[in-house]
Formats: sequence, C-alpha cells, structure tokens
Amino acid sequence: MAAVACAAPPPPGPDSDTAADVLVNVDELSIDYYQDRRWNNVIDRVSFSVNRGESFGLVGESGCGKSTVLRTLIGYAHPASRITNGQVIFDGIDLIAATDKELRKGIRGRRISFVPQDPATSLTPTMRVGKQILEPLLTHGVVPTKEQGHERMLELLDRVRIPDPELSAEKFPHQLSGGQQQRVVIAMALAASPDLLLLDEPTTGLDVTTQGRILELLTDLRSQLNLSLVYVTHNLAVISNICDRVGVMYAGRIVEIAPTRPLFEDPKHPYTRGLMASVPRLRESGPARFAPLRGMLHREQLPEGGCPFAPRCDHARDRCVEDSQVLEPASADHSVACWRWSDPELAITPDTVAPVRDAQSVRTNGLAPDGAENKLGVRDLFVAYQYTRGKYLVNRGSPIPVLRQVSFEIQPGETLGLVGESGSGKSTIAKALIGLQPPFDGHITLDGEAVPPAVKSRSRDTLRRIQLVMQNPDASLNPRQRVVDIVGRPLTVFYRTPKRQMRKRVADLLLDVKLDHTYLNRFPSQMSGGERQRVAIARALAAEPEILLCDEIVSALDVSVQGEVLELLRGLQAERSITYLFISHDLAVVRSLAHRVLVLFSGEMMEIGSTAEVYTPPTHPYTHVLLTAVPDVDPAKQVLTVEGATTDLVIDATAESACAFASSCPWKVGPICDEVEPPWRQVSENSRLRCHIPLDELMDRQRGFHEAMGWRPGERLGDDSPDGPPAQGPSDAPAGR
Amino acid sequence: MARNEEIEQAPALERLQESALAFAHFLWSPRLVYQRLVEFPPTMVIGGFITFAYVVVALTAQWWIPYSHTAVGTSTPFDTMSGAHWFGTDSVGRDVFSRAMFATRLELTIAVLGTGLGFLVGILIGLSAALVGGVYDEAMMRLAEAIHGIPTLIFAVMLIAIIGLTNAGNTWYVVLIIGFIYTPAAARLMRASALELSTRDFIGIARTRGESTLSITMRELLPNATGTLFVSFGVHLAAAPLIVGSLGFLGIGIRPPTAEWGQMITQNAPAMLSSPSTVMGPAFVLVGMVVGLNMFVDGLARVLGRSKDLLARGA
Repeated sequence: MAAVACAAPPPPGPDSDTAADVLVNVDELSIDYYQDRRWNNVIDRVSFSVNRGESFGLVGESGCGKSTVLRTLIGYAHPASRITNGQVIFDGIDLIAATDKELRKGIRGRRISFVPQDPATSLTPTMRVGKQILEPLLTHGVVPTKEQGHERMLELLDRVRIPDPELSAEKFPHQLSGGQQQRVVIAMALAASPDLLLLDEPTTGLDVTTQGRILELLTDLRSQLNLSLVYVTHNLAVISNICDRVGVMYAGRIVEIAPTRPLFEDPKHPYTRGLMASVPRLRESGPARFAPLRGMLHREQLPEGGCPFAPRCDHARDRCVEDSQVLEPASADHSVACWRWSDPELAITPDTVAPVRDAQSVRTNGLAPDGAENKLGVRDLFVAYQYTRGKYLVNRGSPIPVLRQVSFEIQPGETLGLVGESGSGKSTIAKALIGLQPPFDGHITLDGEAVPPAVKSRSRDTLRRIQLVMQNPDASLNPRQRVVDIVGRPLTVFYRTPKRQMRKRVADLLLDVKLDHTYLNRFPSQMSGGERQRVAIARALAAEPEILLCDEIVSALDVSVQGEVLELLRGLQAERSITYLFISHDLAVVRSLAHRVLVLFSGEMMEIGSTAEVYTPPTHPYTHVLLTAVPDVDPAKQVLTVEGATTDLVIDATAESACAFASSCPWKVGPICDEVEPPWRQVSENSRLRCHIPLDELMDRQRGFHEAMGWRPGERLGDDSPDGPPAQGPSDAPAGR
Repeated sequence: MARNEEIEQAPALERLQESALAFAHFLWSPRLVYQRLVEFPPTMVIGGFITFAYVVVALTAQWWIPYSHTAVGTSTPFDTMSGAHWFGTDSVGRDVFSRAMFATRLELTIAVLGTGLGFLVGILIGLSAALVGGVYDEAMMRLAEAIHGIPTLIFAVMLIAIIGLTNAGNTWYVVLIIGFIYTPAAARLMRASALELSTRDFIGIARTRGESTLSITMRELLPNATGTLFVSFGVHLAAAPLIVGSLGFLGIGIRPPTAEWGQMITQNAPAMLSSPSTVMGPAFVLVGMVVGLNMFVDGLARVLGRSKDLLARGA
C-alpha cells in the first residue's frame, strides 16, 4: 500500500514496490498516436500500481486516454500508436516487451481478462452463448475435454447469476437482455480464473437497475475469487462504489490518485473538484460544493509543457502554464499533480461550501385542477405498434401496446421530468406529442385546444409551438448542411426570414446557446458532441416554441458538457418561460431540472408528482427500485442493496398483468397485482402513485434506505432550500461563464 | 460592428477571387501539391492522371492527330506500325492511331451521356418508388430486377432489334441503350439509400416542421445520397466504354466511317497476324480508359468512405 512510485526517479526496477503485493505496475507510461502526419502525445507519464485483490479505478471524461491505458495492460496497442516511454510490469512480466505469442499463450484471457463496453458487439451473434464460454476454457487448457468444459461452463453461468444456466447456455446472444449479455461476457472473462480483470465502461450502456446488479455481482466476485480489478469509467458514482483506489485522468495524465474515500471527501486537484461538482446529485451529499467545470478539453490548445488543466482552471497562475506538474504526495497515499494543492486559497472553507439545493420547487403548488391553465394536456394516450403480416393481403395482427392510459398536464413555464428505463415508452411519448407516432387513442391539448394526432393534419402554427430535441445530435443534424442552414431552416419555414438577414438571425440564436458566429459555416462533423447538441437546441429555439420536448438530450454528453447544457436549459426557461418535457433515464439529472416527475414503466404510469415528493418516501415500488439502484458519488453512502430478485428487470409488453410492474415487483402483494388494476393513491395534493400497497406500508418499507441516505422523516428533499421568487426560477447558480 | 461584418459573408466575387488566388499559389508549389496528393490513395492519383489524359486527348485530338481520321490511302492497306503510322493503317489505308485518338471524344461522350441518362431516370424511378411505396414500388422493383437479370449484351441486342438495325448506328441510340441498361441499377441503389435515409432523425425533424416531401427530398435526403450515387456513377461510367466497344465489335454499334474502338478492332481483325498493332492499338486505348477510370473511382470510393472527408477540405 505504499505510495505509488510516481514521483520516483525514472529507472525503478520492477521490484521497487514489492513490499506490498503489487500485481501490476505501470511506470511512467507515455504513448503517442499518429495523426495528421505527426506523432501526438496522448498518454503522458502515467504511473500507478494495482495490488493483488485490489480494485483500482481510472476516471475521466472522454478523450482523457483512460481506455488507451487500459488496453496497454493487455499488451494491446492501437496500430497507429507507439509507446515512447515507460514500463508495464505484470507479476514480473514486462507486457510491453512481451511478444504477441507470449501474450496470447499465457497472459491474455489466461491471467488478464478484458470486459469491453458493449456486450452486444463483443459476443458473436451466430454462436450459442454456452459455446462462446467453452471456447476460452478449451483454448487456455483449463479443462481437458469438452464434457468437463461443459460442466465448468454451467458453473460459470451460475456464478454470474444467469437464471437457469442449462437453458441459457443454449440461447443466442440476441435472446438475452443487455444485462445478461454483459454477465455472459464477464463469465467468459472469468473462464480461466485470471488474476486481473480489466473493465472498460462495462455498465455504461445498461439501465440503472441492471447496472446496480452488475456492480453487485462484480463486488461479490472480487471477494470470492480474490480478483484484482482495473475499472475504467466516466461515472464517478460507479467508481466510488466499486473501487478501493482511484486515479483521475485528464488529457492523458493522472492528475490525482488516492484511495476512494479520501479522494471523494477531500479532492485536492481543481479538476477532480470540478468533475465532482458537475455531476448532478440524486441525494444531498458531500461537505463542500465546488464550481462546476467550465469549457472543454481542446488538446490542440494545451500549454506546451504546462499543466493541461490550466486553461480551464479557476486558480491558474503563470506558473501553471510554464511548469510541468508532477504528482506529489499530499498525504501518505494521496498524490496530486498541482503545485497549489496546499495553497490556502484552494482550501475548503465555509465560503466555498454552498448548500446543495434541489432544482427548485417553483410551481409545485397551485396545480390547476381543471385543464384550462395547462399548457399541454395529455389524456389517456394509447400508442401501439401495428405489425402487418404479408404484403398485399394485409393481415393485421392485434396492435402491440407501447403506451397505455398515459395522462398528464404541464403548466406554462414548468418542467415535467419523464423517467423510465429503456423500453418504457419515454421516447414514444415525445414522438406522439410531436406527431411522428400518431396515437391510436387519447387526446392531446395545447392551451386547451385539441391537437390533431399526425404531423400532416397539424397547422403550421401548432407545429411551431412544439419542438423536439433528440438524443443523438449526430443523427438529428443533417451531416451535409452547414450550421447556418440547419438553424436557419425553421426561420424560413415558420417566419419566412429573408436570406439577407439569415446569417445575422442565426448568429443571434447561436449566441443564445453560447456559441459564437464562427460556427455559422461549420458542418456537424466539425464540432464536438456538446456543440452539436447546442446547435440542435438552437434549431428548436429558432421556431420560438412554447413547448420543448427534450428526449435524453444530455445522455450522450460528458458530465461537464452535460452540466453546461442543463444550465443553458434552465437559463432559457427563466428567460422565456418555455415549457419543457424532459425525458431521461438519469434520475439525478431529472431531479436537478424538473419541477414535477412522471415515472413510467413498460408504457404505464407508475407515479407522478412534484420532484421532491417523488424522490422521498412513500414512493412507488418501482421508483424505489430505481432510486436504490443509482450509486451515490459519496462513498460514505453506498447502500447498494437493490431490492427484489437478483435477476434483471423484465419489461414484457405482452404480459397480461393488470399492473405492468407486478412481475418484477419486490413487494408484490399477491394475485391481486396480476388481476386487479392498481388504484391511484393520492400522496399529496400534487402527487399520486398507482399501487395496491397502502401508502403507510410503503413508507415503512422505504424508510430504512432513505434514512441511511441522510433523509429525516418529515422532511422532503429540497425543503431546506429557501425558495426564491418563482418568477426568477432556479438560475441562482453562477451562469454564463 | 466588426462582428456584424464577420457574420455577413463577403461578396461572392471576392470570395471567388480569394479562392482562385489560393489555388494558384497552391499549384505553384510542387511541395504543397505533392503533400496533398500523397494523402489520397495512389490508385486514385494514378487513375486520375490517366483519366485526365483521356479527357485532354478527347478535347484536343482533332488539332494534333497526324492524319485526318477519315483520310484514306495514307499508306498501303494494313501497313505495319512505323514512325509515320504508330498503330499501322487499316484496310483502306487510314491511320489507325489518328482514328483511335479521334474516337476518344465519341467514346467519352457516349459513356458520360449514357450513364448520365441512366442515372437520371434511375434516380427518379428509385426515389418515387421509395416515397410512394406500395404497389408502384413493387412493380418498379420487379421490373428493375427482370431487366437486371438479362445479360447486358443480350439485352442490348434485344433493344437494337426493337430500334431496328437501320437506326442502330446512330450515336444517340447507343446513348439510349447505355441509359436503358443502367437505369435499373441506379433505381435500385437510389431506392435503397432513400429508404435508409428516411428513417434518420433529421428527416423526422424536418417532417415536424411540416415540410413538403419534395422539399425534404431535395434538402435533406438527396445531398446525403450523393456520395453513394457518385461512386456508383463512376463504376458504371468506367464500364460504359466496354459496352460501346462490345456493340461496335459485334457490328451493331457505331458504324464506319465514324471511328470507334470496338468497331476498329473487328474491322482490323483480318490483319491480326500481319499487322497486329492495328488491333492491339485500339484495344490498348480502350483498356487504358477502362482501367484508368476504375482506379480513379476505386480510390474515390475509399476517400468518400473515410471518416475524414479529404474532398471537403479546401486546398
């Protein structure tokens, strides 16, 4: 457990750290990539070590080089890369010097295994999963015969908690859910009982409940098998959950490295602080709140030889751009690459401590009982996909419902958060509202007036008043159009803006989303993900909408960019009182933005109410499952006990249950859940949920968890924040930087 | 004010002058030209040069060929290759080299016009099939498949039978035949890429603006299909001279005295042994064009397939 040999002189032998049981030692690793006809440094003197049985995490935003470092640990190098400096010693073996044959024979898969991000692409689609697990068993000679291998394969499937291994082994990957696929990949990685497991964002594409269960599995496996883990992710909460020690990476360097608890309780590097501040919190936590990150990483603008974070750092001095920063010990095992770490200016004082505040509770009161005051009203929305068999002789099967009886209202200037996991029908609601997926049944009203279901039958003005921003700006922006044409098109269509004024008008709109006029002539491919999403927002704003439907618009973005986009949305709402429907799977993001929240499961409403009330007991059992599954950034508050069965949630649209959640519910009452429609229960004047379990009982069952999270009965999250006048809204955070 | 000036675009003429100057400067520096060229696949550079040479020949041949392409008796019939007659002479003493060079213009014109016609009609049919769908789509696509199934030359012979042999030698009929042959392929490609593109999010967004189908097609859909169409156009363009040559070779294409490579090969076939250059000359010229175009298009497809768009970056 000695301090990592980061500040040590260049030629340390591989055994310099043998006091502790070091399994992997990465020493002064530097890697270049060949790009634009020259070598560019991407990894700069990265050093860390992982002990036997330890779990080490690398965290950072996209492009920081964390995956590149991880791949070097299995001796894999990108074809256009070169290692310019350093060593990677795994149990006495130099992985960089090792030949490909040596790596294949005894290392890869045998002693070091790799779990990639997307299980859907890492499994062979045409091979049964059992056979895929058998493969590494036979290649590495773990078992002599196929028969023994088969037994071991079933053991492995059981170990990763796949239900009914015999049956599942015969399935093809596409017949398994995403969570189960990732379990199979983990089983393959464990096949040869490796010493070290490398995980590259293994839960990023999964739902929160599934993620929670995979993390639980990994924690258990680690203790059972004495595995060492190197876990790479951008998600601070996940890393604080699963890792003993964490290295924070920025622009190819480790800027801070420390055991998890000290790091999260007392982050020293300005980047680490900013990163933590940028993550929206589900629950209040942490003693201090720092300023969130601003700007973004531009590798080409890094100061030569200086601290890479200096251009974005609030505390930067001249020395920061001149001197290279090296990791220096701040305490026994806490190192930080910032010369100012001990500076009193950076110390945590009461001044830097700002209360963590709920998004706001602006308009939670005064929910109009009649529809007159509502901006948008949705009543009994029923959407189904109609599959037709045959091409000419149309044989219409019965429609498969995606949304059932969805009703809600949004008031002017309000944000309704829409929460649910994949397959819950969130996006379908957005598509139904915008008219791209006309509902079978139900009414949509805008300012009390009925809106025709399909785009074609809507008036131009109705179209203008509702605008949609989609999840992936890569797909929603035409790659062949310049920004000026993309953003200018709604101006032409809705306002007939003359060509002469177009550039001026578009430049103004870009300013609204904090982009300048230099973007006018760019193509989408010439911008970063965050910039593209801003352009997509600017396009929606160009129509001057009254309602903005935001479909997962920040889920593809890095945390710091995500924070900026959320801040932008808040500012726009305060300025123009636009009504938002904010769809997201991320409960924390929704909490930071929404006034009210609607929880959706398998196309049915489970709960709707003010944000504060939905996030505190009593909540619907499903909401509770969601809340407990989200890992907390604060390592002191890791209560990772996902309620219910150990298998993943199943969304089965064809199930005939009266309550869609019945089959996955941890507290299922009995047959009544399958047979009788659950009643709406009024939690308060603004909040209601749909469950057979009485509210008092829900309260009792959930109290334990929420108290462990720092909640006191009788108090609602966010109640402690003094409300500003409603008109000003939530924008008291420092904005516009 | 300064900001406004930047936002307003410079007048078109000034911008044109600027880019022309920049291009001239670029051409002046062999190092810059070389650096830029090595970024492209070598096949594309070589193919590009060959194609460019053919275009130059097509445009200028009439001024520098040593003999008129119709002048008879410039030497004895079926003369062998010599300094005066690089490819020898044909049965009536016409200079084969002059004829081969002069024919380049005709070959290129037929190839470009025929392929262009085929793609124009094909794109219209493919687009309409994708957008209208239903029975019309089915009918068009089955018809396209039926035509596609017939071997090219047999189909060409069928078309000539319809046109009538007396008309067959007409240049415009050859263009028409090439167009006819290429239409199904272009239609199927256009339909497939329109169907794929129409599921994209930006098309959905355009629909929520209430835009007309025509406007969505022209603004959002077609510009994104150009890459695929362009490469396919090139591939078909490269094969077109072969069809023209084959028709000429079979005697149902361009007729003498108009010079055409395939037809020259047939006409000079009797002298295959006594004066092989009269056959091999036009054959090599034809092969050169097909190979050059193919190499160019092959490289072009690779460039268009790259994530970094080399073509989009200005010189």
